[in-house]
Amino acid sequence: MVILKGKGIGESVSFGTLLINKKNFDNIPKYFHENFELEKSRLEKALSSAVKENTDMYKKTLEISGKKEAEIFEIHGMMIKDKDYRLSILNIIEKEKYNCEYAVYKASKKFHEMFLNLDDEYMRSRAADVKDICLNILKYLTDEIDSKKEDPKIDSKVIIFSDDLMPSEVSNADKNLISGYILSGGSECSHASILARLSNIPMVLGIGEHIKPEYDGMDVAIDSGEGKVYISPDTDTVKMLKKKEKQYVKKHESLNSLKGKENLTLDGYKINICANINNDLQIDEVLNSDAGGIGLFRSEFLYLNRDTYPTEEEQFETYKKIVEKMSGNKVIIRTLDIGSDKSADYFEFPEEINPAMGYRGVRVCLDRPEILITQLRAIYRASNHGNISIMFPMIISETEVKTLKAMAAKVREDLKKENIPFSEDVEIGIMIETPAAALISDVLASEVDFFSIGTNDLTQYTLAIDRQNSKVNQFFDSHHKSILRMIKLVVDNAHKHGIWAGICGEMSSDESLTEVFLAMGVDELSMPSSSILKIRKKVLETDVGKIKNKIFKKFFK
Amino acid sequence: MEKINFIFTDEAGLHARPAGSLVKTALEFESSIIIKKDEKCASAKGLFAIMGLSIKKGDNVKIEIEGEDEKQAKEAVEGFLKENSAEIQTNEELLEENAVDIQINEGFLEENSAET
Repeated sequence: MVILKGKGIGESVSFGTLLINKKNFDNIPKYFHENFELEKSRLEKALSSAVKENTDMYKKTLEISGKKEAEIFEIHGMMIKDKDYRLSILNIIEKEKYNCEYAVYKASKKFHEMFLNLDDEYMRSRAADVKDICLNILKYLTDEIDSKKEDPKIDSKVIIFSDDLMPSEVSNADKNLISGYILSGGSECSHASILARLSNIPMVLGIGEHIKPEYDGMDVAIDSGEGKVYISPDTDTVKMLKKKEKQYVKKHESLNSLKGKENLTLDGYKINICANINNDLQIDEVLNSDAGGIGLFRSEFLYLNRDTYPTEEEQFETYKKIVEKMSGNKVIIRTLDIGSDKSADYFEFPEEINPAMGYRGVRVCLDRPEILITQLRAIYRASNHGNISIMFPMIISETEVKTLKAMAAKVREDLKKENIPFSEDVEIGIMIETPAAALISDVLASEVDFFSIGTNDLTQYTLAIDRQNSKVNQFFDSHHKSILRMIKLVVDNAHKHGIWAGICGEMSSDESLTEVFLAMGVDELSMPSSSILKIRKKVLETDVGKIKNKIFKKFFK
Repeated sequence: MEKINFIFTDEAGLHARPAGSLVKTALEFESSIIIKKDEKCASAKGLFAIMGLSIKKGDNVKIEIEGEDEKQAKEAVEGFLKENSAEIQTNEELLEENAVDIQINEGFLEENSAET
């Protein structure tokens, strides 16, 4: 038995036969054909199947996620239909006498290289699309062969191992056949992961290159709650996992029964529980988790993985879509918090020795105001379509807050002059994530409508421990008295000035701290959608009156 | 033959989506529609060919349309350009200046010319 550890998506256990589905160009059949017409008809058939798949995916995605997400399928379809591409493949079949598969590969390689050699970053990245369509067409050519063979393995469910997944692969997956996914790469926020979570298919990401080719066809088990993969698990492990599966099911049933309930403690204290999101694709999960709103939209993700700044119009469309889908529930948009561990080339950030303490967050926006102005215009315009709040990150001083508020006021004034409608009730708040901001929170409280405490950065700055440095992990303690005292100070100062205070860092989904936050009187917790019901359960079971003194004695005296 | 001169103004350049809709427009007509940028040229009926030109903001681009329905084709292409951030130039001088011979891009077009 081999146990591998990755990042799990969802909480469930599944068993199956491992099917290695590495998408690469190894083992492409290569031979000289004897019948041009036969190869030509094989090609035409594969091309039209691939076009059909992309057309279907386009329609399906358009319906579920919208035009932006669907576009890629339309483009892939047009690429497959491209006359030059088709002729280029046919030429190789006709003149070089190669078989269809190899001709597709060879022609695609030429177009792939053509894109790689272009002088434009965007066009260079289209090379990946050529690779995708090539694999897409090859799939139909090999399927045609595979389907002629009887496959004895299909009587049990399969768990697929792949480098990464296309959203189409997840949404098209037959759940009676596929019981899970193991990915060498992948990201928690990707469209494929979201779909896996929503459709309750267990997935383990980031397993790296530890799945060896000889594992193909072996029995495997996934425990996505632990992020573990078991290759040919022994009987004891299978027994243990079966028990665990039952526990997960029971837990989910009891959590799902909490949907629609208010977040009230036994003695009647109310706390708001909201969701953190990185992109608009995650909204379905938010709605499914019964969140009270969006407490943190990390808008920097709109700026990542692209070659130019998102325009005002693009941002407006995204914000509008989010607030409309949240139908009146609050959406807090954190303005661009780029720098530190998140960056994109077009920002042309200088190399920094200590980026966590460097050019990031509002520091970038105060230095390059045009970036923030564009974003604020988009946010205010979207405010006309729903309930929106603005939150500024990485604040250390009163002057910064005043300057940012003046910029927001200027944007409102400009919109008024241009007769563009916006809501007058947009709350402006700040992140409290530096010890500086926490210590002067009494001063800052009179400037803003709310505080949201970013505990990840607040912890790393207060304890002087780099979160990304595994060597100092042993010294890290998120329950450190200094952090809890700082949070209490911020909450007290907020309440003294009649504003609300929430927590949006990782600590908000830490069950062992829920009682502490309730005792402090924290107004809102914002966390990943998947943790919301778990924390609601904890709130419902807590009696603040009973625990308050004990907690205060432990941490604050 | 009909000619159009334009300067592309979209920040993002002529990327995949608008290139795709240009192909759709071009395929509606019998006429040959050739796009020229610098010394490169490509048929507007091929997505890869257009993307291969890598048209960016500020690029000066010429289109030459020849065939029975060239008038209607010109109108449709101009309509596309207006919708997609291009400044069409009507200056006679520019037209004169750009009346150079088409040099076939030594890429995929040449290889595929046997068919056409």
